[in-house]
Amino acid sequence: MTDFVTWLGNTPFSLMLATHGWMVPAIQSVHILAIAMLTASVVLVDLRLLRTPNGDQGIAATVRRFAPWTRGALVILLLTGGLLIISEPNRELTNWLFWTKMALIVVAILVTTAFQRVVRANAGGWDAGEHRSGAITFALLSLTLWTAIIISGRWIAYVQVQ
Amino acid sequence: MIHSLAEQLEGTSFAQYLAESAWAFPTVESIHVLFLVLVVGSIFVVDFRLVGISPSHRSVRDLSREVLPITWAGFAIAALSGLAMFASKATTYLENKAFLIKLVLLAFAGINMLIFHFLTYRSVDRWDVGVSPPRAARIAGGLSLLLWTAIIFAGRWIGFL
Repeated sequence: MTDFVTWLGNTPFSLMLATHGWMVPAIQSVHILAIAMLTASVVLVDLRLLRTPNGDQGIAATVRRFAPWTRGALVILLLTGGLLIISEPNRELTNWLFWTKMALIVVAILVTTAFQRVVRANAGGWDAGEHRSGAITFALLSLTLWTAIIISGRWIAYVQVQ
Repeated sequence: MIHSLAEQLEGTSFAQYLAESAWAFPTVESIHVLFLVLVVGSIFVVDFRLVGISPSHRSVRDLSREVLPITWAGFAIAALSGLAMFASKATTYLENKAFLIKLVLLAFAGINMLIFHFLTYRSVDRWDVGVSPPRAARIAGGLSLLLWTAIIFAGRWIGFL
């Protein structure tokens, strides 16, 4: 891993990103904007799941409406996150919290995708208010996971071992 | 005047604790990030509807009712945590260009929101569902997207100056 980090940090692309001081904060800003899109879409779906139905839009429609937001944001996050790793490999790849964050992201994506499939398979039932406890369980799990992901992302900067 | 106020703020035991403790500042900062992304993301959901990126079959009223309470709750927490971070190094922040630009941009975003809410939104019944919002609403949405994007950039830059 150390060899790889050294190699990656010395590639022309990495050096280019690192020597232009404005590039890292600019990429981080786009990363944060995508986190904003993702968070809003996740929270709006999860809050809908936690509420008792009161004439709101149905669960299946809400899930369907925000799925492209979550997916689009994830693509931008993957790209900008990749650039951030290349620009400062030692800040991320040798950091245990970075890997914890990556593991949590994989879990969150798997859980969310599975949930979206389950809802799509029986949209009428979910809209009719069946599966109440399933909806609440998923919403709480999703909120916990994404909160942990965002917090660990911010703390990567503070647990750096140099 | 502002400077002496900043000095006083910085001198409070709360501010000094934030500045000196190893974990307090990053913790408050994490809370700030957590809620500011909620604020900006939820505003974008409404802005996308106003500028016409999101489909017009979703009622603007319903969307506002669904989203804006979250925006305001998030804003309250983001503002409080932001104020706490400011207190920890108030005089330094007052000399940070990115911080000052962020404040100005926040003021502009607020003015844009007020104009939209008290003038443009009054006719919402006529463009609530199924039609493209009027030009004033599209401009307000576009300005809001630009301003909040710039606010994120300015905020991220504070730590790099």
